[in-house]
Amino acid sequence: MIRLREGTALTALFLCFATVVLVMSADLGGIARRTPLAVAVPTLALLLYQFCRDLLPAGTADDRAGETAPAGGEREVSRREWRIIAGFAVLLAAIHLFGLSVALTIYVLYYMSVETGEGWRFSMSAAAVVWVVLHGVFDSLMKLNLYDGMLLGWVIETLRRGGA
Amino acid sequence: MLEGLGTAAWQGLAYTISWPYILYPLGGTLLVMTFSFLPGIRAVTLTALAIPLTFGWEPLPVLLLFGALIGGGTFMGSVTAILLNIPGNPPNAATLIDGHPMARQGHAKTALACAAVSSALGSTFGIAVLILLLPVMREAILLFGPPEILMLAILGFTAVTAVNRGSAIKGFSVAGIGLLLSFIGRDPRTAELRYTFGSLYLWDGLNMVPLFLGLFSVAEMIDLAVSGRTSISEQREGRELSGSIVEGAQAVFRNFGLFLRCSVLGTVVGIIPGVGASVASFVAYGHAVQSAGSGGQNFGRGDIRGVLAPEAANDAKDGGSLVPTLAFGIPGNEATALLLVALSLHGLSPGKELMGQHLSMVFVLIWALFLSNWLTSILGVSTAGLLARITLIPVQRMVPVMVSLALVGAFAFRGRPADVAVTLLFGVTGYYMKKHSWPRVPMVIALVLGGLFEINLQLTVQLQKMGRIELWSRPVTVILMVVIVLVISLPALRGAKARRAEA
Repeated sequence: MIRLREGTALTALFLCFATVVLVMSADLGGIARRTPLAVAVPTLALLLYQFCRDLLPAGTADDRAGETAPAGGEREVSRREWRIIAGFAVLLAAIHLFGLSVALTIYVLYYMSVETGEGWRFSMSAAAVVWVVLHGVFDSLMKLNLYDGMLLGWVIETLRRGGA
Repeated sequence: MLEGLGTAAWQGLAYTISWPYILYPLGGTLLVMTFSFLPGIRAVTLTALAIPLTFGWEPLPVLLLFGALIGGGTFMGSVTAILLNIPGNPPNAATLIDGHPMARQGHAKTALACAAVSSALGSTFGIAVLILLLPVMREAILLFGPPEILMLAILGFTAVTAVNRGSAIKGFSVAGIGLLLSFIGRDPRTAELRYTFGSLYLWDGLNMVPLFLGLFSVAEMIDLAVSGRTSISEQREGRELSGSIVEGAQAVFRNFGLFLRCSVLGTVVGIIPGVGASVASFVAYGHAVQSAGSGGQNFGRGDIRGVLAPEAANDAKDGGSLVPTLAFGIPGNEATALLLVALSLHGLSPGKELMGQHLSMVFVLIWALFLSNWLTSILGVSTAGLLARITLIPVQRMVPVMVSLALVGAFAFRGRPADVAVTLLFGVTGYYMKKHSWPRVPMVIALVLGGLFEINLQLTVQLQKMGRIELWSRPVTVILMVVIVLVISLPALRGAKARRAEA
């Protein structure tokens, strides 16, 4: 009987990537596709073999390793994973809109107070330290011009124009 | 010639330790040590930032500062690799394979001390070879062409077999995926665009820094957050941490043969322009595993030799990488490329002029490198106990701070917001890879070596076709081929012998 496991999705993802590379290589010139093809074909073969192994009801010990759930049971682990991944998606959107320093400071504040359950004073201090490091070290000292984000960038630009 | 070398060496030392010039290597070392704790901020970043700062300086303090920046960052990358499973630089990924399991078992002090001693002695070995090679640099470098570099890249790939602890199928497939990822962007010879999906971002290929920060830093933080661990070492008090500094330092002398062999590997790889430290570290790690034979079952689970070998090679390569830089103006790596920029800005031309008229300046650089390598190691050993306490920090407090620093580090490298998204994407992928026992280190090895492998393969084939080279008449190529065959076949032969003995 075929058995679908979470790990199978990862194998499928790698399989898709190798297949896309193989298909796209067909449109490339002789020199440009030579090495990728030489790598893609055996990789695809290995991944197909692994995919079939993943679908078997009883995988080998190697395949099952790591699938034992840590503290909290499988459902709890899955819930924590999805919270983190969803948090990353929101963080990415926030960085895009408000820039790195604002988004990351809020992220630290949120994570410390809500996810970790730290007190507000500690969370605020941690967020302030992150903000100081981002601005003090990266922006001011290293002159890296941290990304301002679309919305904040637009606000800063408008204020600058208004000032001029 | 030797008398001239001695005088220049003495003069260089006198310049280096004179007041106030001694402050430059000391300050540079402390600066690079502090910043190396921030993910994504590599010694190369600091070296690049130092160029505009030093425009108006005299050449002497510039050389002292650059020597310190090049030498100081190497060891510090392994501190985060051991303690947090986050390698500071790609070559330090070889150190985390055994270093981090030691930290998780509460032996962080031992691992850090071993890495520090191995680094200091390895760098001294590399510098000694650099001084000995000064008179014959040209001949040594000309021994290495595309076929030899190709063989070294293949030798680096053989480390994939050594770092594979679980399923071999998964290890090799993931190395294949890493190679395919390294092919994204322009073809190195024809400049034809490959697998870019019309995205301008992918024209230059996937950059190593965001990929690396994602696969290790972010993935590790997700794992810690999900695992419910209280701290990395699962201990609450410093006194509960076992391991000792003396034990770590002694490990280097107990395995002195291995240390010497890995230092030689590191120096040779460092001398070859463009090969990079990652090859040195992974080849050394692979050698440590393979030379251990049946006594190597503990590799990957916290074997001290897995820390010693890559650290010795990684630091020994610093001296080696200065050989082509100073002799021909060919940078051995990114840091030495920036050093060349600084040299030319201050009117020092590598080659005959530098090696003849300004030999004492060459020694200033060498002494600064030596000083910073030893200083980082001495500080590393003396603060090992304190550093080991990082493994006691509650993980839930560490996660948001480390994720934030990783994302800023990814952005800081090239100033591209898309790198932040790539870091998070590879962070999630890296976490699921770890969860489902897909090894991440083979992917890093393949990503690092992919470009080097492809361009040298193409050049070798082309040169062979044109009749410009004959593989079998090149002694270094043949020697490396024999080494590759031995490295691949010896474990299989040993395994067969052991099975026969059991039967």
